[in-house]
Amino acid sequence: MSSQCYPRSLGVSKIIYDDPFNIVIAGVGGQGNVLSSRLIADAAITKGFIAAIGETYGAAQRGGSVMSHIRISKHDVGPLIPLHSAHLLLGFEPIEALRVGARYLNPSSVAIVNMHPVYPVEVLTGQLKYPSIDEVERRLKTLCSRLFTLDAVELAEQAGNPLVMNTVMVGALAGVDLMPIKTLMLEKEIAKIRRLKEVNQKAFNLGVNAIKTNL
Amino acid sequence: MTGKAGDVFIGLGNDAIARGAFEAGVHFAAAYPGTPSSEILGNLATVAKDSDLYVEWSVNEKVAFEAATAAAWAGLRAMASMKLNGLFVLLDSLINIAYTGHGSGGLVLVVADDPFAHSSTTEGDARPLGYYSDIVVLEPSTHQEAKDIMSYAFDLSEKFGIIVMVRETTRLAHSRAPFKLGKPIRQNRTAKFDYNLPLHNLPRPHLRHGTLHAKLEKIRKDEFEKSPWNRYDGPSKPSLLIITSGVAWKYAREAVDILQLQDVGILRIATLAPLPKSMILKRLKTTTGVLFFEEVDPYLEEQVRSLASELSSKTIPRFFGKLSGHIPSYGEIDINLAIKAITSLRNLKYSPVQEEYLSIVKDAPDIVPRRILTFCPGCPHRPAYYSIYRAIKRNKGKGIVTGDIGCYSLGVFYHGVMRNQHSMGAGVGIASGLGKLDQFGLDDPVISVIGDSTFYHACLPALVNIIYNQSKAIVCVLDNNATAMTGFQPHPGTGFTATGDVTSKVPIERVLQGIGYQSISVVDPFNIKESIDTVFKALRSADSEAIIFRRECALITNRQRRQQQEPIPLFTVDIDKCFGEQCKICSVEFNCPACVWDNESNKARIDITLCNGCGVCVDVCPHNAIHAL
Repeated sequence: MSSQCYPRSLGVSKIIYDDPFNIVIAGVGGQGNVLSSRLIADAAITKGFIAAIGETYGAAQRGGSVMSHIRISKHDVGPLIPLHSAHLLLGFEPIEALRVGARYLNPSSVAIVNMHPVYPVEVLTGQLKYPSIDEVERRLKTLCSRLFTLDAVELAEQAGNPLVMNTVMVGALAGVDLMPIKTLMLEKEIAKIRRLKEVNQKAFNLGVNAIKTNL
Repeated sequence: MTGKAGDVFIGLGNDAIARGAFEAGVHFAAAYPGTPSSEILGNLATVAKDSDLYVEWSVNEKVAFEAATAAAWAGLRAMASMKLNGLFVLLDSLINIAYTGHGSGGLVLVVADDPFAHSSTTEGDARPLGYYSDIVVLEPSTHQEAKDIMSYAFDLSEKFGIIVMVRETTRLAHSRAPFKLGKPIRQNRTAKFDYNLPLHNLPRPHLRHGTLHAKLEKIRKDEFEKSPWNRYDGPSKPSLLIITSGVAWKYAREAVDILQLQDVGILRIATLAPLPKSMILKRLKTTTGVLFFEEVDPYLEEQVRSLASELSSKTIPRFFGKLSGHIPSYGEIDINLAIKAITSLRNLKYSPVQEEYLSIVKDAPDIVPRRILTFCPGCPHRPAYYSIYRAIKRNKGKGIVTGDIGCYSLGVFYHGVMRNQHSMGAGVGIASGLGKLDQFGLDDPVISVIGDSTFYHACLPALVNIIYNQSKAIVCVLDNNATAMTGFQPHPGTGFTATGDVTSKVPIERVLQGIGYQSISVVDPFNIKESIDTVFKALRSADSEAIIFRRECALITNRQRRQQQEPIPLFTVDIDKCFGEQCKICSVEFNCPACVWDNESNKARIDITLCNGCGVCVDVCPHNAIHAL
């Protein structure tokens, strides 16, 4: 397997192997997880890669955890990322990022996490406790080489609709510029979205900038 | 589905299978929805009207398969697609039709297994069932193969007059990858009934069995021994031979890549029944160790072990896999398990990260609360279950609720109201039995909860049994006007067909009347008081009663609201009236995710970003603290 994809910028050292390039998205049903993973994969395919997406979304509509694996490769790889072999984690929700991060991150990976919680039903009804966001953040930091946090829901609201949180996150992913696909390719895919077209484009740019100002 | 030949499309394995069937010129496709198979027919339905293709959502998988058989009998290309449980449902028909043959057309069965039971109630393996049924079993490994294998399946079925099963698993069905489209070969065939070709096994079924075996033997020799669908990658004399099928092949390949092993060979078998015995035996002779890496059951492992008895004892390699404990005998397999098995066999050490990191990682998620599944806010099933729950409470806790398959299966998480959950329709059969135990001293009332799509699928025989044998079971049909769990496919109660055409409805209450139900109540679950009273009354009566909770799925209501730009009704909690901690009925008992508990004020609050505006909480609150805005 080749090892061309991973840039050595940002002090990120070599990961186990770089083709396939592995991205994991962790979130909750209804957050647009599936749509984002398709968008990233489409951009990769346009760039000449063979992308594979593995999704766990059986009960997505009903408040369950949803995880997508995106693998960008020159080869026809399987849909699942091996343990601790994600180059990037895109966390749509803090505790889902921690739950999934603990399985797929490694000391060289980078995590981008929306710190806006979606509470499990038992937390909503006061039966279980949601951990403090600071503690989630502290633990996430121990799992990766660099953690970027943002409130993507707030940025989505700024763009005009809280539902485009996922587009903010794809923007943030473009912003860290660690993937074998570049910002422009993702931007082109975002431009293809017909519903809330302008809101999505704005959300994407807000996501890019949220990260760039943090770099 | 409508792309041009040569286009590269990124889609689900199910998209690839649907496109493959379309390219193969399928004329007749029938299915019953079931995750992870539903998208196959859903896709074909989108192109049916513009081509010579008939598609239907059948009432169940058995009928789907039988209807497809009819089309093949008339010389057409026909298919039925389903999840594994559907294969269980049609097994009797399958084995019979395998004996008789199905005429000159092609008959293909697509079965989607669900290892790990992501969206199922059991794990299971279609391959040994195909083998047992004496049909051909094929399994693709990639999206491209999933598309391409469909044409081959139809060709093979027609060439040999045999039923061909294409097996896939969740990770193919529901993963996305690119595949290149081919040119659809649409054959305009006229359906013809061959009166000289009766499809029955009489008078001597056993002879048909023999003929079928001979046919399979011919397929093995003529087709599968040298089939390009099977492939071997590796050295001519591998120190370890991995035998695999389906998506597991990709995992095995990647594991060998990661471990950088040059001396391991991988034999991927796509023609799973009848197995290419000679080819496999030849491969066995080249190695001293074989690892079987396959999804769900040790099908290849058992078959190949038994084949190896034909080798001289000196040349029999050692076998590893599920039977030896090197691969877990349950759950889903992945690259990690392949790495673990190979490293343990070869005495290698491999970890993607250092021990120290693993110790940090181990405890990191221990603060993460679980995320149980629940009904959506505004779901009509929640108030239906709440009514059953309250009515049983009012009946001093007496009332056994049997369950079934669908969104309403989440009743097992709703205060444990639902006591059992098995196969489609099983809850009614079990309720029928429970309702006859009074002579042995069990006279607790019994409620069977079923959904609308399930009602038509498999409940009718058990409902007839309840009336015929005078069981005291109550049946509650939670009618939300959709097969919601699998993606809103229409069913006989909706008045629409798979292609969106208007058709006559088969109303649930009229079916129940016809069966002989004397007492049939139709209630709106949003009317909590009436719902609780109706269930309570049924619990107290000693008759076989039927209650239909009728209210459309909240997701359909929401979609319509969005289209018509209607706002969602808003509700709020009057803090002064809310009883706080000592009550919590809206939040904990009614258990709606939008009835949030505010820990600071220790009062209820409606989260308007989650609320779907059903307003049931207004009636659920005993203190009149919730009202419309």
